[in-house]
Amino acid sequence: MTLLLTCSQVTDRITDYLEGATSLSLRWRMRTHILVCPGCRAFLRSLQRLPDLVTRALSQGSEPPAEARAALNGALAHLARVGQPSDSVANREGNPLAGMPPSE
Amino acid sequence: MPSETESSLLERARAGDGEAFGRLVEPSLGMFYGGILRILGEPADAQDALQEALLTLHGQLHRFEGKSKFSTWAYRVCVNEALMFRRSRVRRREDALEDFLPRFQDDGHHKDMDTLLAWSQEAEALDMAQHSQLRVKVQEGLALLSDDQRAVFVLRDLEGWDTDEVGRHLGISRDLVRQRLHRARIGLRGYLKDFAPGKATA
Repeated sequence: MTLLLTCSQVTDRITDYLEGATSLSLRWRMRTHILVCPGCRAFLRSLQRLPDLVTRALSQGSEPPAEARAALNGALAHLARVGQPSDSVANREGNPLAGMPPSE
Repeated sequence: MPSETESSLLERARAGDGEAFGRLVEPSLGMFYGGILRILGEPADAQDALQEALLTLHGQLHRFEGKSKFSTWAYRVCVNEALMFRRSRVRRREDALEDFLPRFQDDGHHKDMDTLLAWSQEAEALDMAQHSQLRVKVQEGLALLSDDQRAVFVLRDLEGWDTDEVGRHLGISRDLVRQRLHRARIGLRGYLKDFAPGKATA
């Protein structure tokens, strides 16, 4: 790599840059490039905007979709069949959360 | 601190009252389903995984100590369930992003200026029709990722987990987390770049 980075080189390492996983010297050269390059600046900002955009695009209205209701009905029907909560998990094969309590 | 109704519902649900359990989870059902769907990508899989998650949740109610909001704790259980479900199904290992990666001129400079930034800044103002076009487009984009990339992107960028946590849960190194995250972000960004809100179905 020469001292001056191309946009393509900056793009290749942009996630490492954002995650702070580059060497100091590469970080400095990337930062300099981004400062003077409008294309890379826009590229970087669009990447930073992506999570929010995707989250907003996927946000549901207040009504849960039919699949979610069906899942709840299925679960309640299952619980009605097996009875007590202490039995229900133990009786299901391969309880995926066995030994793996969720952290609060 | 759970609200009065929430804590009494919790108590009844713990004692085996199914109706109370249903009322307890109902307000967050859409959120649980949404989180699972983002990881699995398939509505049918998400429905199955949510049903499993609700049963797991029901069996784990005694573990909830009220230190966090019930919905926050329960959401975490749902995400775990989705990750488990993901391991058990046929995986898509390759992404289909080749056409959406950035293009460069021979001298290594960007070929076109970015349009995503411009329109995404206006995204707050999208009307309902445009919003549903955007949702379809984002879902298509997520579907182009491999299962491994999608899991990393969702956990890191949408759920906000840190890189170590994502690596631990998926059983991969930090380097691999970053590698998959990079491909996912770049590909998804490229896929959304050419989307013009309001013009897609015009």
